[in-house]
Amino acid sequence: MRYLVPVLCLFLFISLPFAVIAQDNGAQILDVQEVVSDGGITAWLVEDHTVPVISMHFAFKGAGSALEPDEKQGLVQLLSNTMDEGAADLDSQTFQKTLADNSISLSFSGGRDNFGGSLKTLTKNKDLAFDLLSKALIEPRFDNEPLDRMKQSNLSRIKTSLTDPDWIAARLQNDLAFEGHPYARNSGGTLSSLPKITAEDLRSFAKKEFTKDRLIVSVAGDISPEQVKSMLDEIFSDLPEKPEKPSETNDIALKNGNEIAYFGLDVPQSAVRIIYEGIQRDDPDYYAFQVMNQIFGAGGFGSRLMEEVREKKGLTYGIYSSLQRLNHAQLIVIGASTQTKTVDELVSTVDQTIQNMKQNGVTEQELEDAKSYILGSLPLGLTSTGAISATLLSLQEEDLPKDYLDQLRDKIRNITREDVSQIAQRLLTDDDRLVIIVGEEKPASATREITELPNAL
Amino acid sequence: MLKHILATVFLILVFCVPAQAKVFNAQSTMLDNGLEVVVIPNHRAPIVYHMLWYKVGSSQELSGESGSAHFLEHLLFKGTENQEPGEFSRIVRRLGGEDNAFTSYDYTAYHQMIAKEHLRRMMELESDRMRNANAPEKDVLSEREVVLEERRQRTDNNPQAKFFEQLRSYLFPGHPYGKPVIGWMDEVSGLERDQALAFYNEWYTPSNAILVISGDVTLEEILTDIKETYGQVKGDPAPEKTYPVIPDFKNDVRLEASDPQVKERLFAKGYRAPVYTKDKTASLAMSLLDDILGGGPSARLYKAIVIEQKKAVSASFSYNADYRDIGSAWFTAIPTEDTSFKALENAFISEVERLVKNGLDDGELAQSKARLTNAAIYARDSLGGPARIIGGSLATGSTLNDVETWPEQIMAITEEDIIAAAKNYLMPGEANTVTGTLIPATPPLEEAEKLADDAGEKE
Repeated sequence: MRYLVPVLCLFLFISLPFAVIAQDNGAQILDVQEVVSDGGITAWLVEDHTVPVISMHFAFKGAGSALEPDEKQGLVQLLSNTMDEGAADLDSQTFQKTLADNSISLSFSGGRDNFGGSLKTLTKNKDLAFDLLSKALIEPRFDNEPLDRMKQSNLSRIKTSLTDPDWIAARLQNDLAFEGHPYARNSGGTLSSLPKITAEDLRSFAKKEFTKDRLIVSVAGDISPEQVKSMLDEIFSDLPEKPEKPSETNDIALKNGNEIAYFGLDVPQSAVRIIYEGIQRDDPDYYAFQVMNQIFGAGGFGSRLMEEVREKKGLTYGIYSSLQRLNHAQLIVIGASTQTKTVDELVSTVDQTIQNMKQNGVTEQELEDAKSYILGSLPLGLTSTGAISATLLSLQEEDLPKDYLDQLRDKIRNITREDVSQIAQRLLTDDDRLVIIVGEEKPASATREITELPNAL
Repeated sequence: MLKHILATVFLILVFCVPAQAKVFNAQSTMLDNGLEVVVIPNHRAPIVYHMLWYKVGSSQELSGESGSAHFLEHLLFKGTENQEPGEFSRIVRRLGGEDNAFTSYDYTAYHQMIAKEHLRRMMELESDRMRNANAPEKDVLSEREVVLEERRQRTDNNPQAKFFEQLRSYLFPGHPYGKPVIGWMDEVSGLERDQALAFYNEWYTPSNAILVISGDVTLEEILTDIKETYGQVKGDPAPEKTYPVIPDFKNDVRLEASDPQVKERLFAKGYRAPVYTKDKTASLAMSLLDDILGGGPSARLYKAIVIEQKKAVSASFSYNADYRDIGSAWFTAIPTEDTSFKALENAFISEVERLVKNGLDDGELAQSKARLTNAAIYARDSLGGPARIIGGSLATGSTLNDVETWPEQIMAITEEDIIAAAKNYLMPGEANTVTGTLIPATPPLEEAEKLADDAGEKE
């Protein structure tokens, strides 16, 4: 009766850089209401009484790991691990047991830019769920026992990751692409930084950075606007209005864009990443990029990268190209894995695919297919209250309007083949790209060998 | 006395699901060619999730051909007599949909999520793929390379995955559940087109398949389309599924593994466990036991071993029942630095013994039942979840009624059932188990230096 079994999927799960798509019949995709509480707190709501479940997501924008001190990397991660480990008069075990016995899911997550949280509850337990979240936000305990336990758990995660080629490639990507910037640090913490973090560090970060002016909230499911209003005040009204001294982070463009970096690891399959400077959301060519990347490598099966590298040559199980956007940086990352002896062939096949795209552009059929996929697949990700609520939050994180999904239709429709060619030529440059290879054999083309993984130990 | 009765009535109200309440309210029928059809209406969005399940997976592969069921799954994306290689997926993308497939021991499923107006097209393409697969030889060869890369990515690059692959082979010696679904490297490397297609011709028939559609439709609306597409597919009945008997070995089996890619020790203990279709009570009791022992940070094992005794950094217990022949249950833990494997194993065993000896705490069973039945409500809050639960259950021999009435069945399990399950399946000496330890391999030079140091100390 349980369905989570070891199954083998044909594809890797490849997600669009930011799922933004629309259906084509003119109807609104999501009926989003903006709800403002008596205390002035705003939430976006999609009301849906089909199932007695309520999902909620929230975030404090700009309160992410980019703000942590260098010697305390992992502070925000640890904060997200411990905020649900006891609050007010409930110790860690009582708090967790109350969640479990009432089938309430509460979790926090620390990103580079934002600190977020999510709550899912059955309607019948909603008052308790809101009360627990409020306690966790306003009166977290950070007791020694759970704090130590969460440190151990993170140290264990890092040790296990130290021989994972994909994890190492991601670590090197951040370190090299963002050299000298807070984004270069390890947001998951390091073996030496985590033990230094104290309960006081966590408490003062939360107190300073979790403020109402940074708060965004989204809700979906079996709840009315009036109920949302009182819930917002109950949970969030005790937060401070704004930080005393707001912290700033600078923008950064791709660094080390002339390097082919290699890290040695004794595994049969190498991880490869090819990284370009990306595109900002407010760039006029942003939508042309979305269409281009759909054709090039974001579309899974049928994308040019999948066709050339997987289908024709059998070099990899999956290859993707995605736009990774942060508040102050954006990268296009092409990632794949292949056995040691075919690393060079994989990289050169990707290069040929890029050159072909730049020189010959795309066909009318490819353009139409990409547009119809982007527009048609929009509602697919909106089939659960949790997914709807998460989508609403990501729109707010990007400062996008409530009807963005509907607006997208026209923007995507107007993209031409010329727009696609131009953006490919502009972004997939010949002289500014970073290549990272993690595996057992150093390629002849490598310009730099890294022997000690930065910000891990 | 009155007070007592009131309390009882209250408990019944709180915890009993009315007998007529079904979890998913699915509709079902059977076509003349033997294809089972299940529709789960869900009108939240104008979308359908279309799944075709075959009641066969890697467990029915011929000896020496491990991985052929999964390889076949890949080849079904390489065209038919009526479709070019990759055409099905291209059509799905063009229509704004997503498609994929997966293979397990006892089933293989192909699925698409797409706007409901394209459902008929999916039925046409998928029903064509039931009998007319025809992957060109050159695509077969490149796809075999893809599968080998998949194996490297999932297993060979990952020391923990290799460790569990080997543990399974010891828990199920001589049984297909002891082979990895993806197959052994050497056997997958030699798989041929004809082997995969022979498996296809034998097992992919309407009477060995289940069509599950979840979404903005009803059975009445789409039955004609189903009959005009899937209903036209002919096929002989599939053979009877057979499973070898595992010899009843009396000795403990232990695997001491070491790997240079491991930085941290890992402990695992596996047990053979009941499956639902063969012993409903034991299987339902194991599901509750899974929750009571291993259901998160407030469950017994985490609380005792991680929080209180500090013998492990993490500790989990899981019962896997999605099989036709035998299930399994696994205790897995990462010991803290100063804890020996033996101490960790003993801590787990004493938790099982404590449960068998003292039974459950007050309220513990009711709370666990509430969590499991609440999970059934959450399961309805998605399009794909219900289809996967129903498909997986039916493909391994359960009925739709079994799935729909699952909360009632969980409510009927007693403390005695749970103690019996723990005693029968988790007590050492009573069951066939495997115990494994994984440690970092010490490079030979360091080992030599350590021996020299030890020798020095003795002098």
